[in-house]
Amino acid sequence: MSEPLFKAEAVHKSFRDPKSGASLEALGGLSLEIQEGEFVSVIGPSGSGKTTLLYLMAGFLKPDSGRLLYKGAEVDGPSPERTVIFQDYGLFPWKTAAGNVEFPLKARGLSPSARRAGARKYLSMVHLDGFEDKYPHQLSGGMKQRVGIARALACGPDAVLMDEPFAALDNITREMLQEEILRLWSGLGKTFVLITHHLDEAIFMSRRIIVMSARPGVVKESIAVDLPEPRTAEVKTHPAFTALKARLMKSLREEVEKSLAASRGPALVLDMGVIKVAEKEAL
Amino acid sequence: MKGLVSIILITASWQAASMLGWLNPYLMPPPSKVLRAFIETADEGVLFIYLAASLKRVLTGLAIGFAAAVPLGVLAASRAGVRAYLLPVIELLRPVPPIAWIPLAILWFGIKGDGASAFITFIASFFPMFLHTFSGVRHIEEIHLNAARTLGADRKMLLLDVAIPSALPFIVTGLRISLGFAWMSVIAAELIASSSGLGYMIEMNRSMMNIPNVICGMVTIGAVGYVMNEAIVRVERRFSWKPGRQEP
Repeated sequence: MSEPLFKAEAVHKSFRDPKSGASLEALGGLSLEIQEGEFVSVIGPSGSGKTTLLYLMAGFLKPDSGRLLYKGAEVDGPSPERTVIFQDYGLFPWKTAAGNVEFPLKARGLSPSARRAGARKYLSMVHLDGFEDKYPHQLSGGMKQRVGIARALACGPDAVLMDEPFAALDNITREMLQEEILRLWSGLGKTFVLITHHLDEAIFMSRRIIVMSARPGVVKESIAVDLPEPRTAEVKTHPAFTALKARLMKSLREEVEKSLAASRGPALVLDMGVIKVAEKEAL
Repeated sequence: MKGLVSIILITASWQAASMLGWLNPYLMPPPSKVLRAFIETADEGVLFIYLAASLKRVLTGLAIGFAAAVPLGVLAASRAGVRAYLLPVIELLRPVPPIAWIPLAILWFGIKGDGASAFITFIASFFPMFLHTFSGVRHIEEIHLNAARTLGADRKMLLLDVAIPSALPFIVTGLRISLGFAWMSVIAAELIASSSGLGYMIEMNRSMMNIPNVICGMVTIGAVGYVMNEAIVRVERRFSWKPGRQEP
């Protein structure tokens, strides 16, 4: 593999608490590479800057220093080429399921009839045939996230960035969607990046796991996941699975202890609020 | 239904009080006389002519107000530069009651015709619609903005497919409040600056001491306002994408 799809070079990112004025370093010189077609999970203690990293890759945020490259060029704003699947789905409640999936197709300039057909196709890929005309509030959490997935795929992305996409779902739904995403990944050959704090999910789904340090976040280690393919439910009882989980648990525990020791400083979980403030003026 | 019971009770007590001689029949005529006035004015057609005149002014002012308030509200909400220039002006003009504009309206548009009254309804309807549009667009959730941008929306789509639909429930609420304001103000304007309309009708009948017609006009104003509000509440429900949104 020649040029990586994503490349972070010593990325620093801090947030300022608008009330106290205190500055909080979310990423402290993070470097990483993600190759085309990979399925990578990023795990780390809460507040380690996982979401900040994903938002930088999505283009919602810009690094304070260092460079974040996508296909060799610096990321400059959001793009449907590297679209996002959100934890809270981010569906437009004033649009139907089909309307939501049509949104990126409309942005791509497709004709109304091509958009209808496209929405039908992508909703069918996530088994939502017959739900085209339902509004998000008429759908269950799992179905909403299926719409979110269909909508992301409709962007025709090279990379799909997922920010704890299953965190709000029950276990059964979560597992079904995990398998669904894997099926889509192996069928589409696109790059998937998954932010999660769920170790089983990270191991089950990814081919590589990036462990982040306590804040300020850097890459602590990158671990290849060597498990039988295709991944089915049985993988979860494989000895290698259990061994890897124990290893990741230990690695994470070290970081959590570090962050606890350091938590005399500013409060731990603050970055999200600041991100929201930054986005307000972007319209 | 219960509301109807109270209305009947109030009217009946009013009628009884008149028949018992507790009310001055000139200053507060009984409902039976008001009803007769209603039938007479309706029969002659003046009631409907005046009603139509008032409605026309309200709808004219409201339409111009809407056309000005919604784009300005969107613009002020989405562009910090526009906001900085516009908001202080709006906040300075907003406390001036629409009826305080009547003297100027008479000078500018004259007492004949619809101009002065329509201008007053425009003033009355502009501010609620502007402020509701503004805060509707300002209240867009970040996740919707982020989602739209990561799905490839350009500025036009951000505006037409995200900002405005997201703000639509607010805009319709603003429309409802504006309609109520405009209806109240048109009557006030017609009391002074008009020679037709329901406001003119009650003022003219006052000067002729025809009090049943005055009350008849007032009841009509109330009833029409009620019907318009009910109608737009329905529109509001239709446009509200928020599930189970309750009326304030």
